[in-house]
Amino acid sequence: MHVDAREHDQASIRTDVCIIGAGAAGITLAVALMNSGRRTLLVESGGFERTTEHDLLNAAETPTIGGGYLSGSRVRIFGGTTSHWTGFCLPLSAATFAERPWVPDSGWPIDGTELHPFYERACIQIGIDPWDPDACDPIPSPELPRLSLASPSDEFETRVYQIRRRTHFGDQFRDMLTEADDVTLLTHATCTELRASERAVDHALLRTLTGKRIEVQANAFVLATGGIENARLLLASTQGRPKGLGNDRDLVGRYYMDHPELLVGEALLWPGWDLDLYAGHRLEDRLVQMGAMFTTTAHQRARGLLQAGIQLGRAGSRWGNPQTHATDHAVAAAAFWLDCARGGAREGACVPSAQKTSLFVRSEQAPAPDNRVTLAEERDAFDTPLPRLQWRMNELDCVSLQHTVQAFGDALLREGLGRLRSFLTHTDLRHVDTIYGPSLTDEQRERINLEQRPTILVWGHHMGTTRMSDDPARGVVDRHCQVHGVDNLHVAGSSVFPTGGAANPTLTIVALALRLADRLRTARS
Amino acid sequence: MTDSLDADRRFVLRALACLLPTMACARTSLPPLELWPIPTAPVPTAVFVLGRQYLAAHPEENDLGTLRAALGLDVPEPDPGTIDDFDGAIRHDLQTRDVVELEGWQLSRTECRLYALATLTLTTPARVHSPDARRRP
Repeated sequence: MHVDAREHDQASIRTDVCIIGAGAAGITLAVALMNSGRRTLLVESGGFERTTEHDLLNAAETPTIGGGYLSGSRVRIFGGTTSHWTGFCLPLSAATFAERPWVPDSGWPIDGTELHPFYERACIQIGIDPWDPDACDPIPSPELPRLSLASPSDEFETRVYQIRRRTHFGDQFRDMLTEADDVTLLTHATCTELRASERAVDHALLRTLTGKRIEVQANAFVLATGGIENARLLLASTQGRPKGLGNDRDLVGRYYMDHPELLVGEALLWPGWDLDLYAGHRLEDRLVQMGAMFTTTAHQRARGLLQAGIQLGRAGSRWGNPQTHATDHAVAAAAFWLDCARGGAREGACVPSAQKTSLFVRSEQAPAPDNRVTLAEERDAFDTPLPRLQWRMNELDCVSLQHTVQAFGDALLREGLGRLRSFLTHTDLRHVDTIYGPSLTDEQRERINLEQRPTILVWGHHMGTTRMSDDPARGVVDRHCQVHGVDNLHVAGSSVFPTGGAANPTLTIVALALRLADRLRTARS
Repeated sequence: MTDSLDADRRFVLRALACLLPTMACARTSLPPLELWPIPTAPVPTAVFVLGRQYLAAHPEENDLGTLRAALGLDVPEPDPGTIDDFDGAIRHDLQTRDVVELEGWQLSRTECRLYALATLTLTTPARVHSPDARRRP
């Protein structure tokens, strides 16, 4: 059933499960709770279409990132950010879940293997092939060939993104949810506060832009409004808790992470590479596979690095326009000649030719307590304080990016597979511009390409602000995503990630939501 | 000096000759790509371009004796098979981060010296742009 809150005439609603936020996590939860014997209320701030007045509710202060980062990367619409999701899917690597002594505050309370069955179900929901949990590549449909994966050296391994185009959960699940008997989708209702007694949320306060107020009482509440809004709502829920709900240890909003992406250089690659895989291999109309070369866990451990994946810029893509320099032809011929003589160029590949490609890196960011969401002085239309994000690259983030590029260049040279031209050699990444990726104009991109001026792009992968830990002193939620000290409040979405790995988060968000749904299905009322 | 120069020249020519069959080996069919094919320059031209750039940046090595010694070729008659050893030297360069930047391209010290040696032995000294070279008749 669908109800528009602006036309709802009751001041209160009673339900079994109240899910606040209808994005990837919230919709997944609601679908998974269908036919569970529980009544579910799915609350969405926006409607089925994006509107300016709802966009204005996404105002935020982000002094260190340009391009309207937090206003552009959040969407108040049924479907949430899946409405502009590029569809990149990849499970987090096993190392992401482990405690890594060289990464402060790393380690999930759950093992990666615990997510395998949920990843498999998430793949089915999204419409992609499942991954082989013991390998790095997808298990293809029977009619498709298995990819032949190769990497330049022992320091790198190829992992393959599956990219599912046009995967808007709002379009995909609208009919299913609005026709369900046990689910009510309540649109145009913005949750402005959670009011709690000693150990549980009593009710959620919802408001509409037309002035209505609705109180929702539920046995269980799930906060699924994204990595910024989850923290903002907890911090703004101050009745009886001046520091905010679940924030007794001052952890809510801290450890914010994204996936910095950077044009890092150009490469001349000798024939023999399966470049078709790395540049994007179309399987069918809506599904593309694309390889990226990630540093191996062994290499990260040996060098004390974060995870990072190198991708090749395809012509026509945002980084697909390398410049031609006077020395390119000379390096291509001379170095190729030398590598053939060394026996390094791959067998059968000794054709005197080379391909030039742009290289870009997407990397993990270290969880850092000072990268945080707080509440600003300025308020929105509901008088709720705007979120303020303090974010910067720290030393480990910068070193990891620099070293990954260097290691890739070394691998090309050592193995006789090509040569690298790095843009980072004389750059201090702590001081380069950071902008919201989708806001990049063609003109800006051209200038970055032309001037080879490192610029960090961030894509709105909001992670870490309600991080998961079994220790209340180190995390906001426990291994079941339940807020420490609040018995009936759970959090869904990437805000629970203690570390973010180097893979896009949506597949893991869906997998974790399915896991939480199983818990809620079996929980006693 | 003349004997050494002849030896170097013979070495480089023989090394290039050894490579010819390699360069003509079976062609692979390249996968369809939307990357950017780079037509390569003729090998000697390319080697000389890089060799000259390296020598201009490192005039202290613009000397056959110095280069031969640095490459371990300071023996009367270098064996063309020695080129196999350069693979190990290049790997060693990377281990010790002895990497040279030529217009941003990351090249190993050893490979740059090889290009420089080829440049000094296969071109007339006067073509090498360095103060020492210009002083020669």
